[in-house]
Amino acid sequence: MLSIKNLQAEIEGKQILNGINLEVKAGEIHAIMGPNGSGKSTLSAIIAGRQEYQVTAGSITFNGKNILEMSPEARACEGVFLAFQYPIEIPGVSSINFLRTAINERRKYNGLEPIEATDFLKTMREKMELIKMDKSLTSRSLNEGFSGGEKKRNEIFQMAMLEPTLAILDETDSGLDIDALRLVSEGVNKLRNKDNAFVVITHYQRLLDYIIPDFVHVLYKGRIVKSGDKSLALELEEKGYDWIKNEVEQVNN
Amino acid sequence: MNLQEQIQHDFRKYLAHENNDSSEIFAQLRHKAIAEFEKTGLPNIKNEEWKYTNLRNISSLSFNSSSDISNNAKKLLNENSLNAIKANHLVFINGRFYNDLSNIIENDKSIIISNLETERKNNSVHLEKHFGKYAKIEGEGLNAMNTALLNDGVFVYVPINQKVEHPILITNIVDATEFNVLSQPRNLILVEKNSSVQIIENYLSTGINASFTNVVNEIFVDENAKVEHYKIQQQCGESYQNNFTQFFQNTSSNINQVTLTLDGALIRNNLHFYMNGENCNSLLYGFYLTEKNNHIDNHTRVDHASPNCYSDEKYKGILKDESTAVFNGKIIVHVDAQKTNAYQRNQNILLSETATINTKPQLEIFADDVKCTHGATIGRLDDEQLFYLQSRGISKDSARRILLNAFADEIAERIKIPELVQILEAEIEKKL
Amino acid sequence: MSKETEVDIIDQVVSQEYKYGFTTDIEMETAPKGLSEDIVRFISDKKNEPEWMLNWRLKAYRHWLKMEEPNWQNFNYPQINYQDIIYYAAPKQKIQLDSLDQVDPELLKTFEKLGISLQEQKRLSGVAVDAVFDSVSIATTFKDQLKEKGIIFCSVSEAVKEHPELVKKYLGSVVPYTDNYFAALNAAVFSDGSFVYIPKGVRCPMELSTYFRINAENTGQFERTLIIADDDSYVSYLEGCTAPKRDENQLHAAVVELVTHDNAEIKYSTVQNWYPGDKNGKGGIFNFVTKRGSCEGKNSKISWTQVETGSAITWKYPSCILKGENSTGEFFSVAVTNNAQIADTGTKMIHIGKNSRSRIVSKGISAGKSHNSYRGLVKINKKALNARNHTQCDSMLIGNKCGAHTFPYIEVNNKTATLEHEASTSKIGEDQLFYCNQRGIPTDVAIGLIVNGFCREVLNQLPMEFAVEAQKLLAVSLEGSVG
Repeated sequence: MLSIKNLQAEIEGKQILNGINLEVKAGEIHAIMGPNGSGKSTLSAIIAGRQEYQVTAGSITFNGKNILEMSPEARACEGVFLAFQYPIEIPGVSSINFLRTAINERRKYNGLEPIEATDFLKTMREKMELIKMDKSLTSRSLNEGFSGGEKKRNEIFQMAMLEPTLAILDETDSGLDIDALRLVSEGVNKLRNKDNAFVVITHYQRLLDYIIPDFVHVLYKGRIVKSGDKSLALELEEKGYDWIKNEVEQVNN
Repeated sequence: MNLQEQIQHDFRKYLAHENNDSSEIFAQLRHKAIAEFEKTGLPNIKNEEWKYTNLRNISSLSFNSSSDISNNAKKLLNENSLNAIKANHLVFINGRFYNDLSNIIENDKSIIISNLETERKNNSVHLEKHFGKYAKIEGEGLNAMNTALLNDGVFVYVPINQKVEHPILITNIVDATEFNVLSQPRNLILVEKNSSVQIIENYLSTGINASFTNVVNEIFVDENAKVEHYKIQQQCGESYQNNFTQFFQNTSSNINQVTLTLDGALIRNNLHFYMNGENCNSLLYGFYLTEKNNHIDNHTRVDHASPNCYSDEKYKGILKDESTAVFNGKIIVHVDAQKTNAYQRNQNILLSETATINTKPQLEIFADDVKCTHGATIGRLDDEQLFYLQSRGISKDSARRILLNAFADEIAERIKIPELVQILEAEIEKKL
Repeated sequence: MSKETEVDIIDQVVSQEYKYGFTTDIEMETAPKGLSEDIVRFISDKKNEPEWMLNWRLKAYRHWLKMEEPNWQNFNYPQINYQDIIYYAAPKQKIQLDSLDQVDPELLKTFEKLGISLQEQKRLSGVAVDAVFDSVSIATTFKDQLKEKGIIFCSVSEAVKEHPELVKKYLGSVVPYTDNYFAALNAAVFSDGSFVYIPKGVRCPMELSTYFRINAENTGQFERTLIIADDDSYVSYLEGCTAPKRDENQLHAAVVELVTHDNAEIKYSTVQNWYPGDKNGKGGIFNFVTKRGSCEGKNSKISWTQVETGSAITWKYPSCILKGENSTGEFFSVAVTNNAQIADTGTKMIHIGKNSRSRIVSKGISAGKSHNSYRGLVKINKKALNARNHTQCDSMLIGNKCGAHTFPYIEVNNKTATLEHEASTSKIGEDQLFYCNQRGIPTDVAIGLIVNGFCREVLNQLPMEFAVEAQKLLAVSLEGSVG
């Protein structure tokens, strides 16, 4: 589904990614871990299409299409979803209005008519039930005055509504207490199926207790330096990132 | 003779002596200024910038430019509470410099703390380079009037990488014991790269006659230099003042400006900042306390002419009796001054039925990537707060005073000279 | 977003054409160009006005001759040649105001094209419409149902004849002809407009609405609206405006007067979409309007809501004189300027009565090379004990060639007053745009969404049917402005 080959990227002349290779297939969950500044968030931003980053080499294909040539909204309409680390506030725009606009733009992209209001409301109720969202959040201004936990859950709710084929969760666990973490994870597990895939970016192992990954990759200095199954996450938790750093430095020396 | 006629008359008198004084480096400027003054005249209320401040009373007066000073002035000087501050002290009475009354403690060769007249006689290169370059006279009748007849004032020059250790205290006294007095101080302060200085301007008056102090300050702040500038206005009786201060800031310069107006029949402050380089910081704070039928007008203007600059402005006022206060804050964000952050607030407390406040916090914005907020409030003391203090056993009267002092002290505490803060807070307390 | 892509998008998204820019080909009866006492008499004569009305016009005209055009505004406009304007233009036919059947089908079609159906069966439910075409009122709907409740809703010309006592009492009582240059001009040559009277104790059961359409070339439109809400009454009134695309500027100098008595309320909403001129600022309407309401009675309320998207220049300050005790004035405004448009708008709240209160919410959005100024006055008089005002004015800039300015005047003569003014300026954040993009929403749609959110407080004040229209209008007027 997602194929990243030798991806290199920089921002303002500073190299951040140094050749990333990653294959994600339908039905899989991949976790990407790494110390601060290793390039985790850059990777997600580039997949989603942020313009500040310059891709200097490599490719990203999504379902066989080169998405690096596409606008962010086209990538979204193709089925890429990014759950933001810091969801953005848009004063005066209700969640419900925002979502309806997003869904209809996607339908338009796929040559479909706008969604019927009743269908929309029905889906919304179902999805809210699914991830135990408080109804009042949807009529409030988008993310404005939401607590950290509410913002993150709202991201998962949007994901549920938009039904992406590939969802990237960028440090969705940061700033969440254990209850909120559980709710968010349950949401993800419920949405998981054989046709979609998740890339979970996190600094800590604890999220992976709830969302069980098929693969774990460790990112360091803009490269995937180690890949394994879920046990790698546990090992990392135990030994700390210094273990990876030392290992990499040794190889380099 | 009204003021306008008097200025023209005085200028003719100057012309009669002009040829005797060929070293006069200001001659050209004076001629330009008198022409501008004749064209523009004194401001009137039809001018949008003077809508709320009427100079009618001043323009009909006639003034004497007497050089005699009375014992009153000396007494006032001796009793001045600011004497307690260890400072480089310059004394001007009715616009003239009094060397014998002054006390300049830091007079090393490179730092110049002096008066304009001395500097002029030394054929200063600094004057040629900077004088009259910042305070504009076009359309500014009062600046033109000051420039046409300029006499004396402070001259400060701080060369690069220097710090003036002690504040420079400028005491400006008008002595109107015998006649109506017109005093036109003209100050030039130059602070070169990486240097710093603290300036205190103190305005006092004595005598039963009217006085008009028409000040022009030009302050040049070069790269990375730092200026603290404090203006204390406590002229009493029938004293009028127009005070024009122009800061010109180069890259990464810092200014902390505080204006405290505690008395004066009519005061108009024009405080202007021009940010000529990136990363400038300008803080401007003011407090005014008006009583009787005083009229205090604070006009400020911050020109964000370069990107990435920051300005923070807060003016607060307490109005008593039949007094009037005017606040007009203007922030102009020029084209390309992206990433500007500009904040402005004006808060007023009215203590009397008959006091008037006119406030106009304006923004003019020509760049899109900016953060600007401005605001104004007008109100009385917070009943809740009063009640809270009373419920703790404090009498209503003391409670009021505590709250009013707290309101004022927020501004006084922006002054970074602790002794001065103490003196001023005591003065404010007395007044309240 | 990088600078290049900003420019690309600006280039790509070409501004949507003004969709009301068509003209109606209909035979017109017009006055000769220019202004003189004879023209004033001509207009009065055309309208079969009584002597007193003509005299009032003439007094206004003579006063106007002595006045000078104001010049304190924050913009320049090309000199208006008042002798080059046609002051009266009407479709050539005998109009029977009470019968739609006799209205020229061409006119009915015109209004239908504008989305205003005058045919009984197709009317917007619950909205009565007075349709004004150039200088005259074409038709007023639902008159009979309103009449049953004692509500008068008709053209001003009709009111002059049918209800002279009311017109004499109130016309010019809030905006006298001496008030300002354009108000004097209007008083001399006003052609038509709406008249509303809500009797004591009546709550008007439907929205009243006037739709103004400029069609003829070289004409000015000088309508005059007068709304009176007697004790304990309520009315909600809405006006909409459009004009064809023409290369020359056309002057629209209207006067609106509102009066509320004890416990009465008038809600006045405007969706102004006059032709704004082309991308380079050629053509468009000069919208120089005087709107003022007087809260005469205790507990009375006047609420202005305006959505200003059209006109080359908008210059107006809908105001409230709060005379009554406990009276309330409100002003909710959205002004959008794009391309070369100019808006200098705001309000005046004059507090005279005890406990009077006012609220101002102004949202200005500037794009293109346009300039958008908020100018407002809040004045608290000596007698206005415990008066309160809250003002909020926010500006949003889109692109770096436009300007947003705020000139709030606050004058307080009373220590019991409480007043707060807050203002902010911001741009649409790149983060906000990217967030929308990531959810599949293209940038131009995202701008519409964000701007509508920014204006929500004001849009919420509009009657439902018009709020939707206004939202669309905002998005359309900003198309091609992305930055």
